Amino acid sequence: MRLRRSAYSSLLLGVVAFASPGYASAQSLPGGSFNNEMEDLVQKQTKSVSIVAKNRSIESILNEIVEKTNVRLFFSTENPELQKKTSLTLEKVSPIDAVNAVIRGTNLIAGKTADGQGIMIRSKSDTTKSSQDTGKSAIVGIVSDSSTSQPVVGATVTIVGLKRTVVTNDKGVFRFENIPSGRHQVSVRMLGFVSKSQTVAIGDEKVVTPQFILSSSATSLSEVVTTATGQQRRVEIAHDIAKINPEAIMERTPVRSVADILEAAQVPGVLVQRSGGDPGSPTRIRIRGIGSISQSNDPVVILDGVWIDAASSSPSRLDDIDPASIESIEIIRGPSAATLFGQDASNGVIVITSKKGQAGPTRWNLSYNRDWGQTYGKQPLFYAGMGYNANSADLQWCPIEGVLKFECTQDTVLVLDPNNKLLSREGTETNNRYMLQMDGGASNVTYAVTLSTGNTIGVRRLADIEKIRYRLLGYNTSSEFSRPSSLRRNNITTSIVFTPRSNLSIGMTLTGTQTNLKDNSYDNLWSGLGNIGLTGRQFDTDTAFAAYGGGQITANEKPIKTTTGIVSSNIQYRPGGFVISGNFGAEKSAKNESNFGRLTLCDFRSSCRDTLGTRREASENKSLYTVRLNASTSLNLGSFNKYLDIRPSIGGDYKKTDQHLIDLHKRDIPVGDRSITMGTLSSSRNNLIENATAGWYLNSTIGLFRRVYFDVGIRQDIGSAITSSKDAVYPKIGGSWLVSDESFWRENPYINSLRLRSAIGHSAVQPDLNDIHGQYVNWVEYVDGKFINTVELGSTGNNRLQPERAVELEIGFDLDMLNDRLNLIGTYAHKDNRNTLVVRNLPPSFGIWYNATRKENVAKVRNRNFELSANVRAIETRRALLILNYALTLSDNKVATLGEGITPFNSASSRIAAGYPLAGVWERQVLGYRDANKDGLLSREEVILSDSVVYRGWSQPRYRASYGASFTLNNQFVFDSRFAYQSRYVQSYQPYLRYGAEDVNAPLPDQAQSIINGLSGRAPISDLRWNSASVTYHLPKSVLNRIGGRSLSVSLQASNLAIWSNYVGRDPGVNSALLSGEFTADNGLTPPRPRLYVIDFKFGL
Amino acid sequence: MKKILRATLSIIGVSWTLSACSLDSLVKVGAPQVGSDIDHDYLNTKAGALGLLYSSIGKLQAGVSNASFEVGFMTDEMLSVPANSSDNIFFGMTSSDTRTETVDSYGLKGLLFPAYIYIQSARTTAANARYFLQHQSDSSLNYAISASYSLEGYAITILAENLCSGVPLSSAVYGQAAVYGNALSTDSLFKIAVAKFDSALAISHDSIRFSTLAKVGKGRALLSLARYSDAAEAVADVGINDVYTLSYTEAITPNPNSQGVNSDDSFWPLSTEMRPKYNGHEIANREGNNGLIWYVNPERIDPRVPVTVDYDGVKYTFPSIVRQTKFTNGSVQFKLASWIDAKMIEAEHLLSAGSPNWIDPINAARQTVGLADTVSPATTAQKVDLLFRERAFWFYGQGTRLSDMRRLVRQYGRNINSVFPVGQYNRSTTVYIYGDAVVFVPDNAEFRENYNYSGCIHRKP
Repeated sequence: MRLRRSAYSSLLLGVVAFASPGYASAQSLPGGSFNNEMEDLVQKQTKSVSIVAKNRSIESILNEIVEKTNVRLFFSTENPELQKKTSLTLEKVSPIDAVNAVIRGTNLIAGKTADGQGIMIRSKSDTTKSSQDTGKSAIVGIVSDSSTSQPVVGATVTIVGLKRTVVTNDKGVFRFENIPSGRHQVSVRMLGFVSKSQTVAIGDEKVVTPQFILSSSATSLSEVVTTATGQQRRVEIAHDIAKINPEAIMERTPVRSVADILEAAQVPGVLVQRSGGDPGSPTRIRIRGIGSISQSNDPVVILDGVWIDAASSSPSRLDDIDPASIESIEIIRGPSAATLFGQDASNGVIVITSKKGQAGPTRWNLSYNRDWGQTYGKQPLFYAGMGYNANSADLQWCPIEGVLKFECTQDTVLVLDPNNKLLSREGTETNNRYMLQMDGGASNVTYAVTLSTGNTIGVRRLADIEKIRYRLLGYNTSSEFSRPSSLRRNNITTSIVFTPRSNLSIGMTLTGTQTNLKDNSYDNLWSGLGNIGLTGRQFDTDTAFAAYGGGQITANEKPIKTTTGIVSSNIQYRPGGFVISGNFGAEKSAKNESNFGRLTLCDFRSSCRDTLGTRREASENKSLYTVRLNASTSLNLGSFNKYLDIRPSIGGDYKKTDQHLIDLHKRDIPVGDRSITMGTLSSSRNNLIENATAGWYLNSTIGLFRRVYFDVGIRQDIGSAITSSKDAVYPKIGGSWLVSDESFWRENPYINSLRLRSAIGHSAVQPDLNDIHGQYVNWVEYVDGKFINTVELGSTGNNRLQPERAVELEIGFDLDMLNDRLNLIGTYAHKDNRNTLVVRNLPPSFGIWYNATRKENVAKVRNRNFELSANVRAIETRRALLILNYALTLSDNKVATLGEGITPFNSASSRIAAGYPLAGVWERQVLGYRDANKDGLLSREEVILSDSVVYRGWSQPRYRASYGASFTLNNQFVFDSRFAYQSRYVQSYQPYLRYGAEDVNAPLPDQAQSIINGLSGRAPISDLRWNSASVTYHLPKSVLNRIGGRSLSVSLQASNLAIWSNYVGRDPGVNSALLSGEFTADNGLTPPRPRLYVIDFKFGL
Repeated sequence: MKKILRATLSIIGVSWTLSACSLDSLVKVGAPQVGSDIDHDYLNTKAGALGLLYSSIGKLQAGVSNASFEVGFMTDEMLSVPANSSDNIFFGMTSSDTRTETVDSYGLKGLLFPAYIYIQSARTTAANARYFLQHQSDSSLNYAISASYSLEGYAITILAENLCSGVPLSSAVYGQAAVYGNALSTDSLFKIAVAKFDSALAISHDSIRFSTLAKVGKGRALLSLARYSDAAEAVADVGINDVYTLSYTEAITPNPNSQGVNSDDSFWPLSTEMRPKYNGHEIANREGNNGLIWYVNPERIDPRVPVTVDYDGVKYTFPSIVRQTKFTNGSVQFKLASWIDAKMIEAEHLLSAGSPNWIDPINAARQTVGLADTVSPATTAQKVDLLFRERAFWFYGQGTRLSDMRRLVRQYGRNINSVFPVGQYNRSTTVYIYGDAVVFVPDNAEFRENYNYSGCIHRKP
């Protein structure tokens, strides 16, 4: 069957009467009158048309009318009358005149559609045929999509009172026979559309022809989402994919990066972790927990079909992507979904699609936003016990420990309040961001360009007291030290889509990013003042505290400059029933870090002097190349297609990465010099790592009766780090059942759609190439009376390593109810990471002296997640819309086995032990204390600690929930607020609350606490964070039309507004050791994420 | 429909073929180069492969020097020296010197540990060198391949001679699976060593040095297997000038990071000059009742074991300390395999065969250093004593004494308490009694990390 863009056809056209109710009333009129009645309506809405046709088919001429006028024209392409040839010339006539002229002399007549907005062409004989033949009443109607005018296939139509149900055919037509006279309630329900009901009266007419035009529903299983084989309707795939609309998020919350979008989206199962509040701080994204002990737990990120580097780094490559250039982000969670995405996909896949242009005149979007940020919560007080000893009359540091050792006698306890303006190291963060976007094009070429630039000055600042002190000493502090932390980021994203033929499209997206991150903080600027509390201080009776350690200031410069370019191209060719697509792309990034340090010692009462400098020059160049090919088709099974829909795909991909790192350290650079060539070599490193992977897959979607779908696939990988390809075969199978379309559900008045789904799939994370190859290192030996350069065995490698294999079973449901006002999506995922790599110490019999470890596939890690999201349209009127969002994630993680012969081992602050979470936090505990000598002071010996470390909890939140409310008034004002809750996790706190360690009069519990804090200070916590609040005003269309704009909005946003928590530190969501490894949780002295206030202007032309 | 099926099957077939063959080359990349890593391409060059071989030699040198040091203490070759008169702080040799080696949480780390891992390293590095040498397909490198077998054989021989029965030989050769070794008996080790030497000898004889190493090594291993005739046959054609020498130096080693470092690997610790830095030691007559008399007095010394008296009354408790001067500093040319070894093996073979000429090889050796001929004693036991005394003097401080003492027990039926130092150990103000250890044991890390290894089979000689 052929379908026109705005036409539907009917096989029933020649069999039964077929018209809208309005059209039926016109049937009794003569054809001419009917046409006259339509003229006004259609002519008002469409422009005139000129046609010159010579011996052409009626159908082709009708198609030309549609193309030239955009009139909605409905006709059957299978009516033989349409194939008749005719010749005519029309000049500037209305569409209806043109149609009538074309069909003149045939068996066809034209009439308006039920909504009066289109023209329907049918056979003259259709109007009476059915009733004459059958002598019975019938309801024959059509169902179409309001946005596309396409017929809606498979919609469920029910006569409520009669409990009779049919499904629309592939022309969108439904039919009920033998309907008694009277009024009947007919309802239509279709996945992805708002259900609709109509009362149909059957009187004298034997056939009535109602028309249902359905509008799309807000959340829908019919939504198209991205899979490895292309795009598919959500209902056809057996796993859940979360789709995020960045633009909607950016309207309600401050967004500077992709991580901000992911966090604000609050997708169940997705955890976004922060390393601090500095600009460019690394972020870490974990999807459905962590499964690998020694390999990356980062998800795979695909931008416009090509892989990009998304490893956590500072600044993050993922965050280099301009949020404004993104059309959508899809989160594919777990191996059951990610199987076909190939290697390293077991941690989930993030698919980012950049904005493409729309045909038409150029549209402009301009935006500017300005942020102000301030940290919240008080900085902790520093305490210092001060006193005297027998050897000196000077007041000096004298903590409890010194008193206990009889080294000093405490005289007083000084309290430093860094919240004092003079001492504060935190100022106001500012951020300015400008964005210009344009898109447009013709029917066969479209383009979109996004340009943006932003500059953030972080909260860190040099304490005023330090500035004053240096000024008094004659040493000027530059702005680099006054505000040592900043990030400038420039982006350009250009997208071009070329459609030379209707079945061929070629697209290309170029993304360029340049960042300049400055982190000039140094001891004296941040932790140096912390040292005052940690290690004591010098004290000046005249002024206040002075920095400990002689007042060091450093001409420390630490810029990190990165330049990233990503090119991705897509070619899609659709010959016959096939869809063949290819993605080709490359990402290249260059990161340069130059760290120059010249220490300046400024004694408190004397002048400053410079010392020899150090310099580090490190460059890291990465390249990542992608080739992906896929071919899909829909098998033509003839009449079986009604029941069976098979769409097989085959595809493959190739990915190659190379990374070159050069790292040079020099020391002893003379005072006054900066060049690295002037120093002596301290150390150097030159790493070159390549990796290539390739894979191919087969996949098929099998649909049964349009309500049951199976998704079956298998993938095989090979790669540089895979030594045995037979082990790298990953199968998947899933099923999706639209239960609500079954006959036993159709009568349910509350549930619009219910889909049950389940999927199981395998995926993998590769071992590193280093883990496979033996490592050989340079050395020098004295052999045969002379020094000889030799080659030493550095590590064995393990050429039997297999990929870590993740197997996940996912079970879930999608429920739309109460006229689609309530949408629920629930998923339970059980994921086993098998063959997990563990670093094993090698016995000395391997004869490896330096790095006697190797990895082995021995451990097993289990993750279980329950995810629930709810979307409620609580109020929905013409003037007001209130949408509530809820999300819940319950997580569980456990090391099932560590492997034979491997005893539990420690990794940073955590311990890896079977039966406990992978990132479990362990520490020794205070069991009690006893002031045995009654001196009022507790020594370490008087505090009873557990002999060994005990499990304290998981370093990642076990329970997470979020709540959001968005209220739209008059389509002009939007109020939005979001909250997030997480609990059952352990966060450390580097305590510099040294009261219990400094003051001899501190109560014993505080002294004991101080001692345990000295060990670690970790505690299970929970927190509720007020993530964001905003109010946005959209200028009404009427005003916009007057000023010539397309859209204009002003938004006032705030984020990170408040935290309610039992955490004693400032921000439990910050893990400053994020780049140090998966299992380190440490808040340290890192500034928390600032509370942001943003004003955002957007103007569209 | 059929058309589509055919097309699909064709695509599958092509894809499968591609995945099976050509894609392999598509994903092939160079080995990672990290830090001071060697580019694997370099290993496939002559220089790279020889670099591994030289590394093996260096490791064997380090292993021999460390083992010799430890063996000296365990046996009657030397005594440790207390740090001062007022306490019992020794330089750390108490455990070996008193034969009280036990496997505790630290194992033998700090004692035999360096020797153990160096010798194992010599073995595994030699195997890796051979892998890359063989891939050169260059017959001029046959000597090096032969040497790699010899070095492996020698390393195994030293492990068998000094450690308990039950030493694992783990294997990590490039491109092959790493194998965690299991406990191999002393006999098994010697047999493996013999096979390695046979392989060495079968490949090339174009290097006298390395063939001498293989011949003497084989003889040494066979001697421990009590195959005296075979041992003598193995060394029969070792010429008087044939020698394989290990060299040591105290010179600063230029390390790969261009910073000078005096590597512990490259000097001989059993020297007088090294003593202050590496544990005080002295030579002692009749250590533990059964020890040899190494000198009659300092003025009448055997040229094979020269001694001197150090009147270091300030630092040491004792008014005088007698020290060996065979190795006076850390720079030593040390004969690992020589004609002397061959003569001693020949003598032992003749003695075992009951030949009256058994003393001839001994005297031939003695003549090279100007010593008068000795006469054969009357009894077999005395002959054995003489033979082993000669061996002890020739190889003093070279790490063979423990093996000889074990052989005296194992192959000649001597009682442990008549061979090893026993009784009161009087090098301290605290009185110690000699323990019963007659072997070293692998480091405790071997127990911890090697899941194929559960310890010595036995700790008998």
